Amino acid sequence: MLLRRLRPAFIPLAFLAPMLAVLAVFRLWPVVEAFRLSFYSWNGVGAARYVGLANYRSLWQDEVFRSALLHNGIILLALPVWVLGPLLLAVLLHQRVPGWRFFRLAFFLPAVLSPVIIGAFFELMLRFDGPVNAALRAVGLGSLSRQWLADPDTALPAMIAIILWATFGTGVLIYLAGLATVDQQLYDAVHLDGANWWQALRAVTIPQLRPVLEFYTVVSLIASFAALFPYVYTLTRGGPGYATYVVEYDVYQQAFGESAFGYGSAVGVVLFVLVLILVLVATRAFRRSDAEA
Amino acid sequence: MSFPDRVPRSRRPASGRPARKVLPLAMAACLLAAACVGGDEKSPAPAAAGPSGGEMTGELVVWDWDSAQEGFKKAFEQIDADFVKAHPGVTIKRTTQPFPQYAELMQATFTSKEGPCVAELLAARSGPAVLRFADGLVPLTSGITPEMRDKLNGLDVASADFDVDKEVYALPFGLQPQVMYYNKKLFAAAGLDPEQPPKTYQELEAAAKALKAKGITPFGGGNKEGFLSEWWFSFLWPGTGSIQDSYDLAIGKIKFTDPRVVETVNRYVGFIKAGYFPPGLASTPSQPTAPDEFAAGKQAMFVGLGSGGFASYVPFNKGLGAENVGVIEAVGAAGAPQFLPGGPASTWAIPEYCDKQSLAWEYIKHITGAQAQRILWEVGGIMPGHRDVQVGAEAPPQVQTMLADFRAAKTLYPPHGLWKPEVDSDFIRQLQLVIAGEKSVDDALASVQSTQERAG
Amino acid sequence: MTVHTPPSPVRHAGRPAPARSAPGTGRVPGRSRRWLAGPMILLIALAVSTIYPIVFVVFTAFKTPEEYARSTLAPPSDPTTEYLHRAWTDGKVADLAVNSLIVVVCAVLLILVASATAGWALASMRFPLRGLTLFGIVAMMLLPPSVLMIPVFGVVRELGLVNDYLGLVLVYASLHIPFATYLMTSYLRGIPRELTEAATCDGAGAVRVFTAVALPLARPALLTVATLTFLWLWNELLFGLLILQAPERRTLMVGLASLQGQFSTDPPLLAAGMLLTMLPAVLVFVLFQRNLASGLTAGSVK
Repeated sequence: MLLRRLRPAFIPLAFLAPMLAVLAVFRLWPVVEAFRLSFYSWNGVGAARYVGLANYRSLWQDEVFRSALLHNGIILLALPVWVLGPLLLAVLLHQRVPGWRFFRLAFFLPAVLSPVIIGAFFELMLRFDGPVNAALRAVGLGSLSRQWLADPDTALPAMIAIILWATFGTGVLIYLAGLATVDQQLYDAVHLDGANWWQALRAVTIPQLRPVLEFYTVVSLIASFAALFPYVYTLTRGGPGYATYVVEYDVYQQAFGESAFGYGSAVGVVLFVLVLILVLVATRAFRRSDAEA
Repeated sequence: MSFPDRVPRSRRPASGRPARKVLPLAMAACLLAAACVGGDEKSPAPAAAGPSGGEMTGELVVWDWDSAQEGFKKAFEQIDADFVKAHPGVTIKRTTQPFPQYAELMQATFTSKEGPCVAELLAARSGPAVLRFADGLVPLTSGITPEMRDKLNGLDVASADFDVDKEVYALPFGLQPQVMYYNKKLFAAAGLDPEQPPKTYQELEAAAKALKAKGITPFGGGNKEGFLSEWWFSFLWPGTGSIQDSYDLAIGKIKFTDPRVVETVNRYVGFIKAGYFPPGLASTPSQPTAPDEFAAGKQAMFVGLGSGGFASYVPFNKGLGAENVGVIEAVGAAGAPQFLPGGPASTWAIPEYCDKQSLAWEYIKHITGAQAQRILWEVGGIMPGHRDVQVGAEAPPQVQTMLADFRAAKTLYPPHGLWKPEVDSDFIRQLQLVIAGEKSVDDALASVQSTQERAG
Repeated sequence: MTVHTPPSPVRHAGRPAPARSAPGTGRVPGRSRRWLAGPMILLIALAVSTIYPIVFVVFTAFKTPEEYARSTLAPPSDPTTEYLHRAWTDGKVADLAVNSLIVVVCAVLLILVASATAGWALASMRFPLRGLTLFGIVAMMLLPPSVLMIPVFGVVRELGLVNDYLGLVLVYASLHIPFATYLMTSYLRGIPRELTEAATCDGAGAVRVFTAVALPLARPALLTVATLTFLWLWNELLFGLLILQAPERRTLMVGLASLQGQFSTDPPLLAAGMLLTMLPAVLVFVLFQRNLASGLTAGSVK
């Protein structure tokens, strides 16, 4: 009797079980530990010393952390391109342009490349006497030539551009998979009404892809805060000075560069809360426009 | 999961602890006695203690990064074979770890209390360095003999507070001078005497001016990662500061805003602003481009390393011809420099979770002993850090000079390696800003000083 | 959801049949394709920019360090396979690739199972705390690996899984299950309720609905998850280094990273190593994506 009453709950639980099991042990517990560690001072080797909120208080006054936050904010400005650029390319490829499969593979190649190679490659390209500057000089734009990744004014934009280049192929892949599930009849209906390419995009594609768009926006948002480290490390190490220093890099630098694991965890926690709020804002925005649609 | 706590003292294997306070006194007494009696007479070495515990047979796990290089790998093979011969029943399991991730790996071993019995570590505090992991290493102090203090170069930078009378955490190995190479042909072309390189700041500056006047780029280097600034600091500093000053700067007794520090940094920055470096300095990586350019004859002087195959006489002799490559070991302010910058190539330490500490201790004594360091030079190309080992006559002239000079003079591991990691990181970043014209030297050093104070 | 309309060319006298768009391309039927010329240039330019680094890696792998220093960007004038050979032997590529394959394939399978089942539950079933669970999963993606590394390693050690393939498989799976679950949930949400209700009316239990209805429709998403996670895990370095420490058990990336000494590694050696790791990755991509393409036209439900 009781079993039959509880049965409905079993099925969702059974489906959730594999995910829950792995994440609870290898993700949730370490996250809790990281939170706990943020209240301690620990050099990774000796004993951990409880310091309460001291780490957070230092963080509040940390100039380097503040400029790291600023840089993350600047990277956020690039988010629309990060999210929508691949969408436009995916729509293009979805038209079955000649060689679309080749383009899909080509665009994805940067994701296959290790960031070490990307760092070495762009360092070569953007050097003072590298090909990019040489090309600029050749067409008479020599005044524009500069040490792109080593000039505090251009390092961050250059790095953002490179990261966009490295990640857009993933977005194209994800959007293409989503476009594959859009019902052709919807397009036919709209075209019968005489809609052009742009109108079809707005009337059919974007509404149908809403879950995917929301997904990729959230994922890109998270990535911009928590998955850039390999690129920052190989391109600029957060330099010159602190020009490309981002919060995620600070976490690594504190934990492994300066053996301040407690402080590094505190930075991680602040990052976590910050991005959580942003994700909530983003999903809320999507729900609202979904309701309006 | 409990937080990793320091291994309680009761768990550490007995290592002659009660004798610890007595031994240094005994050693000091012996040294005094030896000094009084005469130079050649050797006083009997006191019964050295050192780490003990664990079996003397079985597998000894050793971690390093250097065996990624062919020369080191072959040298270690011989050194390990010699040890195995002397200790039957022992096998050495040597694992090569990637250098860029070495610090993370070591951290992980301390968390899990599982890892190698012998670990290669850099000296002092920069990078995967011995003093950063000191809390988790077995102190070797009780086993340090006067002979070791005398023969091994760089014991101070493997010790707490750089004081060998305090705790010693690792045995140093190899000699790695940080010197300035110069291209004799280019010097001659600029009207400078190739056999009389600059000995003071003023002479260095004059040489740079003369070279530039002839259209030759005086100094090579790449500062993309920021390392050039700290290497140059260590190269110039001995002209102004002494070894004790270097210790004091590292532990905070001397500030970074001290006039001597400011003067040294200003010299370096001054050279850059005067155009004595290549224009692409800020975006050129320190490896492999910068040394390659010097080896190709593009610049006249280059701050590089004395041992090994990177940025050393090895590629430079190949590229420029051995008779063309000269060495400037340091420059003084008015007279001679106060010391020569150069210390151990690396060190060997015993993590406290090692279960064969006696064996590990025997091993690191062996690998830093005269015999092994001779093999290190002959097979691995790293200059010996053991005073008793000489290099043969077939060694390149630069090596003969460097070894003789570094043995005769006072030396210290390049001072920037003694700084706390956060201070080092801030120093190179602030200087990048100075070089980019965004900050003054005074502001930059003030910022470094506040980092030093915050680091506590 | 993908409707497969049989081609039915309607011929008008004298005019060629209007191009019947392939299912689900959203293409405007009958429209000439010249308007695509401009965008094509963009596509080609982008493709050149993404392919060139690979070309550069290939060139470098066949040079000597001296030639690399002399002419960094040009093709090798006297190609040598010496560094490829050295990377292969010193990096023990053949042996380590097997390790990588075992670990990554198992992890990807685990990710697929966990994310598909959990995604389905989150997308289609009602249960208390559903919103919170999904939110929690997304939140799991928010902490950078640097913060988690030591605690995760601590867990692996407590479970006695250091140096055990299972330990790395579980950690690898945990690295990407949040992303994969979130992706699957988003896709599976798009499956219309009528289809599942139809199946349930036919007497199918929850599991059958999942396997017979949801999974086939989710094929593009599954293949995407498989492709992405395979590639990300194949290139993963840090956890592989920490957990599989014994030299004979290392993954390929770790083995190649060990070729990097304290100072400069010869660029050709580095490039050769990268080339060797890239080949399987590209192969996997091509294989999976071919399946994806056929999946687009094959999946049809009415």
